[in-house]
Amino acid sequence: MDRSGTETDHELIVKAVAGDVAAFGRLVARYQQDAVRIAAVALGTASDADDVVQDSFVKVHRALSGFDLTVPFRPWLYRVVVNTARTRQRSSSRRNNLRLRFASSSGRSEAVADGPDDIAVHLDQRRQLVDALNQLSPDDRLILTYRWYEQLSEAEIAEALDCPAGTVKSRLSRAMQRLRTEVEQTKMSEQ
Amino acid sequence: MSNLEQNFVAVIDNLDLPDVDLVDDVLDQIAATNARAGNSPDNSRRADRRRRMLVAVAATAALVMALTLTVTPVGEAVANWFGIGATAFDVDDRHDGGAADTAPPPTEADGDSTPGSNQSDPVPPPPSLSEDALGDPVEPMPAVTAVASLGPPDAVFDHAGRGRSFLWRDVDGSPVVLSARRTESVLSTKTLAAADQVEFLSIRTEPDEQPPMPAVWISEPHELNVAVDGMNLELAFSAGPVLIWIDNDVELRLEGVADKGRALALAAETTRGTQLLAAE
Repeated sequence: MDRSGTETDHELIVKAVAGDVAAFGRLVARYQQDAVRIAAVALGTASDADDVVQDSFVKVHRALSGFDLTVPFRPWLYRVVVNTARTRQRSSSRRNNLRLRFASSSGRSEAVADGPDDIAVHLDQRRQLVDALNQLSPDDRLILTYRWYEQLSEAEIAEALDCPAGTVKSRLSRAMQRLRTEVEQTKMSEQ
Repeated sequence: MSNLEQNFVAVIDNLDLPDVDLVDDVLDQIAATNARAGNSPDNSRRADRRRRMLVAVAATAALVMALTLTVTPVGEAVANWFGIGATAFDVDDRHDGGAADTAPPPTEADGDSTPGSNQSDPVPPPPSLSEDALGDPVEPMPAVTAVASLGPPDAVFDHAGRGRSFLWRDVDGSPVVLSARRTESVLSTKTLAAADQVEFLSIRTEPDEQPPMPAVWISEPHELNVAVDGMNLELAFSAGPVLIWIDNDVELRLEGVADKGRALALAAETTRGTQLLAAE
């Protein structure tokens, strides 16, 4: 248990490996929504993201007994999700016209705007950003999501991307630069 | 936080995602997969044993998490535990197989499992590496290569359907042995004396969605004391450097390679344990 009395990931894994199905269910419940988000970022669409995540959790369960409890669970889960998404994307005919979309309702991180003009500016900036994101490679979208949204450490990002930790910073820097470039190009194309 | 980063977080947070509840679907799919694999109630004893071993593997990993690589009493306890499967099977094989005369006699039949209790004994080669075993291949070469860079093995030993050992002559003529056994069939316990020679590692192989495999490297010759379940018997003998790792429910053990880096490299190119056992 952690300080709040919640079972840690590793406690749930140990129980699940011991045959406690409900414990694995709690692990699924804990990460399913985050995993769907990562699957959508990797796929470039929310379609199929839930199927990818379901398959990923089954794979995770199958491999759980060999899990190294010296490493965090979440980056490994994301790696499985992304690999599963890539496999599915290769066999999908829709891979070239995938898009991220805005949700109709506001999310928890919606910035507070002072008035209608500010709201319009925010929405416009974010629409441009979505367009720019759609031009990025899945790898660029993922590393930015891991760093900015998931706030993973460089070591965790390296685990999730299965790359040397020393390359994370430069990959992140290049992804940020490409995103800025795409945003600028999106703005220019609208003028 | 920059404006770009702020907007990025908001965009990711506002993606149009399905509001999922996959718990039941995932658990149903796992149950269906298990049912197809034959995990019926009829196999409950086998399943219980497997679960016991998996708990032990997980418990080991959990302890490893709490350890540093420095020697501690806890480290010794982990070391004592970790080698259970491989050692027990070796001893069992000595009794079942044709190389039984190469194993030292039981020193304390009623169970003196004190580590290092026979330190004054001459150190024989590890049981799997005996010259008798080298000269007596009992199986034709398997279809699998087992370890890519070592090529086809010089001999293969089946262990009564519970595992296999592959044997090579190294470039200097010394033997290298890879053993693969299902952890669920482990019935014995052992005590490893040399806790300060144990290093906990993990091994990565393809495909990359596989998690790293927990491993133990024991660098020096060490004492083994093995209690064999159901036989009221305990054996004691010595073993050389060994790398042990767990690949799902298969335990793999590489003996005869004294250099840790080379042992890890060979382990990384070893065929998956289930494939090795599938050739049975």
